[in-house]
Amino acid sequence: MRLRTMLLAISWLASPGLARAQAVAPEPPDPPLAVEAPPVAPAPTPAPTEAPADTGVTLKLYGDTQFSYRNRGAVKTTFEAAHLDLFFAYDVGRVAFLSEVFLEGRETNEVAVDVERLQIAYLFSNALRVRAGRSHTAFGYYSDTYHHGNLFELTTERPLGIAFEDEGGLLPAHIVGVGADGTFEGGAAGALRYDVEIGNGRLADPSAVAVSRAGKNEKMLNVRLRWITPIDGFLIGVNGMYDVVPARADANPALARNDVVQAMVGAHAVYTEHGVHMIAEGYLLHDTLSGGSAYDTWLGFVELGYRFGAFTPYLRPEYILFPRAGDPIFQQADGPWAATRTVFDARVGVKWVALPQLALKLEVDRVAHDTAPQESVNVKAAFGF
Amino acid sequence: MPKRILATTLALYLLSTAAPAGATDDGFFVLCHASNPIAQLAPADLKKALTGGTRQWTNGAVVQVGLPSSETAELRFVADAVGLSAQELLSRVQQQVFKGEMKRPIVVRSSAECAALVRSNVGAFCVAAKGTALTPDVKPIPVR
Repeated sequence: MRLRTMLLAISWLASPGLARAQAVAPEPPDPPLAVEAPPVAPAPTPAPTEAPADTGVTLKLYGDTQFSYRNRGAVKTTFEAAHLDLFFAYDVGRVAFLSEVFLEGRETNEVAVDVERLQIAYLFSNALRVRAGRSHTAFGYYSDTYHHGNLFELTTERPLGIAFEDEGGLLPAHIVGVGADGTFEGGAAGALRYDVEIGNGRLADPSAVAVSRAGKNEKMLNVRLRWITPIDGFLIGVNGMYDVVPARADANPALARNDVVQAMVGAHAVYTEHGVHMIAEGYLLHDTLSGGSAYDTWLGFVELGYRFGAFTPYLRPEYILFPRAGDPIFQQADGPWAATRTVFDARVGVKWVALPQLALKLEVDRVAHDTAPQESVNVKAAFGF
Repeated sequence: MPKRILATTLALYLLSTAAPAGATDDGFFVLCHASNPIAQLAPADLKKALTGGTRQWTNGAVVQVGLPSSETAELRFVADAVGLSAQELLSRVQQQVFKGEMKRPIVVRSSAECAALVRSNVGAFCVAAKGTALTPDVKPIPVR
């Protein structure tokens, strides 16, 4: 325990431009005054300020490596070292800068570079912080709590339904635009946290993020409300999102489609204290094809774990139910979920936090697309320092 | 079923409100700037301030966490005060910084450094031993 704590503390100390206390005040003269006694010290002290000396840039690295066995497919076993996340942050007074550059190995074995986050935030008060840039979309709990940095996650992968855009995720994990969040304290009733975001929203290609060109005039609106209950670690939230996905033009008539008005609602309940890890989330994705019908997709998952010292065994069932007629965005012939009606994914595993900077995970997964199951065993080492 | 839910909720509430042992009498205090109007911190409020739940004090100063370094008694005290192990506390802080929910803590390597930090930053708070020398612009706050 001591070694782990020391190593984590050392990682803070060893970071470039470490934010250390500026030891600017001289030691007080004569016998030091006890804290309990009203102190009287004549020594001059520096003028206090909200923005102390430059605290330097935070640099953190997160990544993982994995071995997988699958019981189907031509290649059944593989090693992976596909994720490296470079996290930068800098604070000065009420302004906070943050960026996250993610290097990711794709199915083609090419390494792609994504700027996952690039945001500037200004803190007005506990009730209002505004930010601009590219951020994690504030929906549900899991998505923006864990995101990249598998070290912090319990499982080896995100839930399928909230995977990243380029991995077939049904909800936009990133937003480019502006947002505000804040918390209102309610005394014994707990607190209310809100998040409001307006951004570019989805493009015709749902796997892309509109980083530099919106591609449409309509903007995505996302709202999340969360009650942080007086029970320590227990919170409940709801969220809603509205967007218009542009029409898709394609030489193949089967792939062309009109605009789709997309509305999403969701709810989540979370308890993460006293060794208990419980996350339950559910969503309804309502897509209305311009000049056509409406299509509902339901998805949800429950992640349960209990920590025994450094070990946390866990279980996560997840279920997705697509519309019978097929969703117009995600279930086109070339879409990630084409010709699928239901998806049931069940993961069982154990996470071992060997060091604060290193987590080892052993996981068995069974994912069934309708009646075609795929079992796999994954061993992952996730790190961060 | 409703009785079970009620019983579970009640049990969670009692667990969450149980006073962590040793939170107030381990020879340490939280230090903050004298201009900060808070007179004491409940463990739940301390936890919020430590993990990004509170970003600004009531006097408008931006919260700046001063985190004890290494396996110090100060770190154990503050972790114990909020009902976590030292490792859990550091891990949560790391995750909250990664999320962008809180400013990066300033590492204080001693109680004297904690006092110096608080003197120079009106929003800073950290843990110091009771014997630490203080100046009039630094005040101790009990955790209870």
